Amino acid sequence: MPVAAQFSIVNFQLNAMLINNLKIALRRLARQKTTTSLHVLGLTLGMTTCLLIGLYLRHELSYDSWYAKADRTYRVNTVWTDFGKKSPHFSTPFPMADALRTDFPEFENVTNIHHPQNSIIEINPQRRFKQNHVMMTDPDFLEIFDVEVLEGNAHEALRQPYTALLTEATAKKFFGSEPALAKTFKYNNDFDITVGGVIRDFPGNTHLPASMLLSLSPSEKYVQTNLTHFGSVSGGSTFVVLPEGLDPKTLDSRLKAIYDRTTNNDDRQPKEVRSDLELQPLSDIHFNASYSGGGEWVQAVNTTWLWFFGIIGLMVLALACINFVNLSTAQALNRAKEVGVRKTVGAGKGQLIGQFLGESWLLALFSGVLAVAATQASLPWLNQLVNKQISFGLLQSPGLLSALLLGIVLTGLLAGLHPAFAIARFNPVDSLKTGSSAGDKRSSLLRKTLVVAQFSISVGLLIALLLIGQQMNYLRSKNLGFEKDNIVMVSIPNGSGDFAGNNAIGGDAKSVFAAELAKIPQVKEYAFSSSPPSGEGHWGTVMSLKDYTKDPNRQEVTCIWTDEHYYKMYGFKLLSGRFPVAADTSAISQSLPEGQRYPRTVVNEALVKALGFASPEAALGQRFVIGMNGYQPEVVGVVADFNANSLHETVKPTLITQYLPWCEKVGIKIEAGGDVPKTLAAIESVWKKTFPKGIYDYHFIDQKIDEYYKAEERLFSLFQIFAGLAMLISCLGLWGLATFAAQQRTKEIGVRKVLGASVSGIVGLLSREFLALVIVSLAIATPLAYFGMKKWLQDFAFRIDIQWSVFALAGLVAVAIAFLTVSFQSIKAALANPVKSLRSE
Amino acid sequence: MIKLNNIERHYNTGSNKTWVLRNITFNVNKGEFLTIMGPSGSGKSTLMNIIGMLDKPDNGEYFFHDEPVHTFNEKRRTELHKHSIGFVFQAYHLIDELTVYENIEMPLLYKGVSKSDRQSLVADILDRFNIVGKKDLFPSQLSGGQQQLVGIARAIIGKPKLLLADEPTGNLHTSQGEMIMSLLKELHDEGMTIIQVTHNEKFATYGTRIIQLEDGFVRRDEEMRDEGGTA
Repeated sequence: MPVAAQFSIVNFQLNAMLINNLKIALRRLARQKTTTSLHVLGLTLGMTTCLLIGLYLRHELSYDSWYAKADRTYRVNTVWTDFGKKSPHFSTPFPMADALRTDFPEFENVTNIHHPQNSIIEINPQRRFKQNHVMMTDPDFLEIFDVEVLEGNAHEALRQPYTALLTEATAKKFFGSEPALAKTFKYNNDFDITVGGVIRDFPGNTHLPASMLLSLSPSEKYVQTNLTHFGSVSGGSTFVVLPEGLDPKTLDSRLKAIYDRTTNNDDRQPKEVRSDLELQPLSDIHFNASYSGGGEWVQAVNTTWLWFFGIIGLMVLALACINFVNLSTAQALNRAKEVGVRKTVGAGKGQLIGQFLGESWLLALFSGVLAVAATQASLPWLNQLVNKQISFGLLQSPGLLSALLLGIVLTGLLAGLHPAFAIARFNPVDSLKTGSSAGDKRSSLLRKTLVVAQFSISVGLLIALLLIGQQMNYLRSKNLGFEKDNIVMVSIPNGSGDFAGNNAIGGDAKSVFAAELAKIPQVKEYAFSSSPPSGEGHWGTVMSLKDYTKDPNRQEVTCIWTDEHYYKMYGFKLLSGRFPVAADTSAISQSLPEGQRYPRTVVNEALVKALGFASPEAALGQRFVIGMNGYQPEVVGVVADFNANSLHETVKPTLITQYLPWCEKVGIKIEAGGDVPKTLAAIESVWKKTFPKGIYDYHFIDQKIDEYYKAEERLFSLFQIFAGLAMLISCLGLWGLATFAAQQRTKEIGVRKVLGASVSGIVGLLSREFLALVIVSLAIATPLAYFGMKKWLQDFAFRIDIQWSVFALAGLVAVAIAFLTVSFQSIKAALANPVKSLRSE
Repeated sequence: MIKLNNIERHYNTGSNKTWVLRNITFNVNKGEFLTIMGPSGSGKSTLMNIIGMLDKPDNGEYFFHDEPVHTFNEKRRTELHKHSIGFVFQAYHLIDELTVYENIEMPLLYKGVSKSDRQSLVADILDRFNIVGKKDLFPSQLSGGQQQLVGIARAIIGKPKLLLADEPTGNLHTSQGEMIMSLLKELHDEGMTIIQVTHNEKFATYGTRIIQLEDGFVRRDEEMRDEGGTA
């Protein structure tokens, strides 16, 4: 028959054929409940995992990419160079925006944003609270970040001093259901702000999720920074939009000119110390943690984890497809007769392949629908776990829908292609012979290879799981070198001590508060400081043994300002010397002439090493210079290293010295096991009495420390779940294969039993082959997992050693799981009555 | 209609060749009802598979309506047998997931017959075999004889030139076997060429000619004078 004619018949008959095939497929699926469930369960689990991971990745990758001008928007970063050492920072000085506007008239937009440190809102004297995510900015911000204005003239509002744009949620929070427009509220006790408009809430995928925008203009007094000073940055940022087609690289020399004419020519600093500007693409911000966390509000995401999840998602789907292939080819025997019959009545190979492929597509489609439902159902839980607002919105997003359909088609193809060919290849003469076992050697080898691949993935994930778990546990439980339990951190309001050491409230307010605290019986100790040992805003500067301004080997030093109680309360381990006492404070006073200020200082081991002292003892009595107020700290004590930052980071040279005016926090150690709420209430009431204009806020420092790892903990729990699913899917596959192996060998088992084989012998016989495969998988997975995890651990300055026991444990668990999975079937087969199994022949 | 010339078939068992068919030479004319008999392992089924174009001889020539089947590739053989040959099996080999109606309809789907033609053809044959009431049942709901009826209906629905029946009564009780045999006889009387394999001496006599196979050789080939077995 000519090909064309054949084709037209094929087309003509496609419908009838399709319906026939669909019918037979549905009936078969309905009849073979176990196999169908295994297939559907496996594919659904795989697809759901893949979908959830896909949604998560889509969300992370969508950060700051959805603005109309996103691809032309850049953040202007400052890069400090200090004797060849570069440190980039996301912040720019206040006047930078104006400088850029003047120097680069071709820029479409330039905006300046500023995050005030504390924002106290007073709606009325009874309703005062701290407001997070307040941002000050100018009208260009609305252009760049596609802010949707709901009420009022937003551009005009940001041009007017003391005017605010509230997001819908904030407007509701401030004024309930009343219209917010033109209402007023008090900001930071002193400023009357008018609401100039209401804007749409910022979506979850921006690194600037502001709750309100305050106008930012030089006339406003609420900005506590020098608005014209180029020499300091205060956490504010500048964003620019380049005209279309402009290569940012061509701007380098003109960008350089700005700092060169403002700060770099300062005679007081060496030429080796300079600032430069750098343009960072907006889309890079969420993924680049090298700019001091990338921003104030949203932590940059670690792209290693994203890769990790992407790979796991695909692996889990691959596992599900492997199951499908394995089960289908193993089961092909059952379909041999059908293939034989169909071939004898005239079915061609292509038609049969089409039929079987169609079946796998049907299963994939069915699983896809279930997976969509499962994803929908588990999304709130995922959102809670990763603390995000990820939405599914399948029907609103044609891209997602087509990706899903494509995924289903590919999954069906991947899963069904091999089985379809393997089955359609059957010779009708063989397959119609009664009692034939069309055991296909090639398929069986493929099955074994796939099982090994599957278990390698599972064992690899298991090893990763154990090691990440160990590291997480280590992060939580490592001795940080100081006491962190039962310590409440409370802030002293701004102005209780400022840079100049002139106390607005006066040292008195602190001593009043201290005296009041001492009266609370549950308060055991307290210490004023600029920060607790665990971080939360350490000060930093440079240090050197000689004049730091000219020393190319000067180093960074972390500074903590305290009172005399600090050392004892936090339980530092003293290696040599002594802790300072109250009388030592006189040595730091700024009434002393510069060059004679020798604050009595405790340093850590890292500082001793950094400055090259031979030992903690040798450091005692030594002086060095720091880049602050001409201080030359004198070492009176050396403490063991403590972790002032997350364990990702090494211990930095740190000094602790006494200077009460800079202590804006109080650590309060409360009685363990006492009535904590009552104690906290007592502290709060004392605080409010002492600082009536402030907003009380407290936290436990150990909780704050835990927050360093919260993002990682979240991702780890996600990883645990996905790795668990991968194991489960592998086991489903193994279980299915064991079932078929046992069925296939029913006769052999019968004969062996008749000849006197024991049940345990037969279980061993049936399980041995699978266990061998698992052991091969172990051999493959171990080195891969070892190198992968070694790389992951390098992200942590403090990390566990990879111990071989982990691999042994993972192997043991894998073997145990595999054995349990397989032995269920093996034992069933071994216990079966041989008369029955032989009769069926 | 069928011309077999020196057909041979062997299997390799270890280093030895086991001959299944040797030197098979005979013709089958249109309208014949040939019975092939012989003990187990005499090569009956292999011969049927070769005639049915499901298997290829190692040596020899096979002409079907003067077409040299032995030179055809698999695709051409499939094409030829799809349009010319119907199969009936000892174990019926109905597809469990399809109803009686759908089982019978299946060859028409592969042949590309239009829907309305399929409906009338299947309806005719259901009517003729008196199984209209069973058309929506599944094979497992039928007796063996009824399943074989469906098997025959499926085999002849495409109006093949040749019907191959490999022990069609092997799994049946005698009464059901007789029912099937008289149906085959009826088909033969209407002009169908039939080749059957059987162990049953009595059922062999329904045919017009008997070939005895033994160890792969034709031992006996005789025309039946007597139209016996109809009683």
